[in-house]
Amino acid sequence: MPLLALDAITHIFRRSGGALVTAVRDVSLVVEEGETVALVGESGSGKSTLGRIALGLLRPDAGRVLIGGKSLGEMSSRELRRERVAFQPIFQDATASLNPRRPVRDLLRQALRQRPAGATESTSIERSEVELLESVGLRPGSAYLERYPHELSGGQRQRVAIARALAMGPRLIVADEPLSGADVSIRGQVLNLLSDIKKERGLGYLMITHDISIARAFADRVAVMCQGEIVEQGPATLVLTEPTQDYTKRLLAAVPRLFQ
Amino acid sequence: MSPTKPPILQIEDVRLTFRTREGAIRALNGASLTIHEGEAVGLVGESGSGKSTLARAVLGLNPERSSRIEAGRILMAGRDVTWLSQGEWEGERGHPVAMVFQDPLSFLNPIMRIGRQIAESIERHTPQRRVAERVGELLELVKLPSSLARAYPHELSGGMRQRALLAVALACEPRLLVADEPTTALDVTTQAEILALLRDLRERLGMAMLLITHDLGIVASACERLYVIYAGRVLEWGRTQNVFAAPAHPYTVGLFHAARADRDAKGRFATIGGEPPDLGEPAQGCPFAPRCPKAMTECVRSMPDATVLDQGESHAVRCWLYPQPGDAASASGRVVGG
Repeated sequence: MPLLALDAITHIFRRSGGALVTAVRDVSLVVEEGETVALVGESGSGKSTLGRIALGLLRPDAGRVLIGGKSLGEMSSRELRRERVAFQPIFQDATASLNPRRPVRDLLRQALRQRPAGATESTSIERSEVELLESVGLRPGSAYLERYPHELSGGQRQRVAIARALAMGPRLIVADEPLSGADVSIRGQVLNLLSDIKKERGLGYLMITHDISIARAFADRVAVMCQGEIVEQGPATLVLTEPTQDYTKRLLAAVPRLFQ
Repeated sequence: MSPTKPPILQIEDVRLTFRTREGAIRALNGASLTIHEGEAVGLVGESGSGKSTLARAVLGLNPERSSRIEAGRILMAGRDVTWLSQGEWEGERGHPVAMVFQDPLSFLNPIMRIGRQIAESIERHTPQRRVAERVGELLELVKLPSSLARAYPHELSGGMRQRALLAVALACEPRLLVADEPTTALDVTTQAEILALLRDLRERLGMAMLLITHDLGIVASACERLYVIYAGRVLEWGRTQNVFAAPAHPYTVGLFHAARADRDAKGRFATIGGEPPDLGEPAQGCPFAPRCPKAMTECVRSMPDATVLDQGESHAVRCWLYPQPGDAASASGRVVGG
């Protein structure tokens, strides 16, 4: 049973003038337990819309979202709230997703409270704010509890955002451009942290990114989106080295090479 | 680099400080850089490295009230512009140096048609009857249809806006274009188009370019030489192919590993440990020393001079791992402008 199955999803936005824009058209995508799938595409390709649908933040106009085989659309709102916690987002801009008026302790405590009892069988659940901070490499955790987001560096903020996602005991993390805001020297740290979390907890990832090098380094499978449709998907090593579709070829050719 | 061409820009050991409520921020700590006529040079650094401050200093765009050049000088086509006032800068901009930015939308007037914005920058020195024609030429130069003169910025895509801003920048026929992360906000396919356009423009107009970026891949595809800046200091510079073939400074080496998402034997992604530098602290030794895997006692005490690494004197590094100019081992080595 796949962790997440998106089944023939279509989503249409209505522009202010009344024009209809099909952001996602008949897309099917599966993420297995413990698998990392990269959703690659340019801006406007529909990849973030699909990510929000997977998180249950947007209701698709057609198609089904299945969590562990159960359809989100057929759940009661209480059930939906409980199930949705299993899927946690990490966004590009950690600054915008952390309340600037709350210290780190409060941000994490809030998340810990929302963790549903027995929602996860994961063995490594941190029970306190300090444990959470140390699990994302902020050591000693106690040194960070009283700090506010603006008192942290960009890399530290992204770690706090990850710690908060982990507090919920998720089984899937939907990471929307988690590295776009990070400097090159921080990228490796965040990638290592995400790998460790994956290894220790057997989490699945849906990684939404425009950065081919990250998809290549991190993902098991890659799905390439263009104008609302998945034009190609398969093992990362295959799709990103021997693409069969013209769009994927053009996308890969446009990436500046470090060595030419 | 063609050594016969004269420099269009020389930045010599510039120190620049911002005054803030929390105290002084030492954004540039003795940065040097030279660009010759027609040359494309990359300035690579992370956020807080001082790369944008350096770029703005070239055009006198750092705020006059809160920033101060403490030492060093900036020569533009041989003329010292270090101490120009804001008023004096007004007459300078656009020629011989113009600038484009990461976010064209915040530099284009949202309620003025594109054609009018381009016209504004040429009216001062173009006869009125020539203005409309010249606007058309400039749009054509950046490969936009002339009908776009009637469009407003919000009607354009990100790539078209960057082209429009480029048309404004080119209006006064600059000899040097300073481009601060011009493609960072764009998709890769659009980025490739803009980089191709910049290359084409440089060739046709014989214009030099200072390209500020955090992306080594862009430098590889667009620049003949590059400088690596960290905490307001240039740590390494040279011909792109030389630096890429053999990066010398531990920071540059780390940047390359991180940019390629390299992994070590254990499958870990390459990282540069530690935190970005605190620019509030006075810089004594090498700013990278606290994060450097190869740091020695000298490194925290003082900043070494430049060591030339190749015969052509085009690749140099400031790092204690390399023999110093005065050392017996490098009797032939000498410091070159950088």
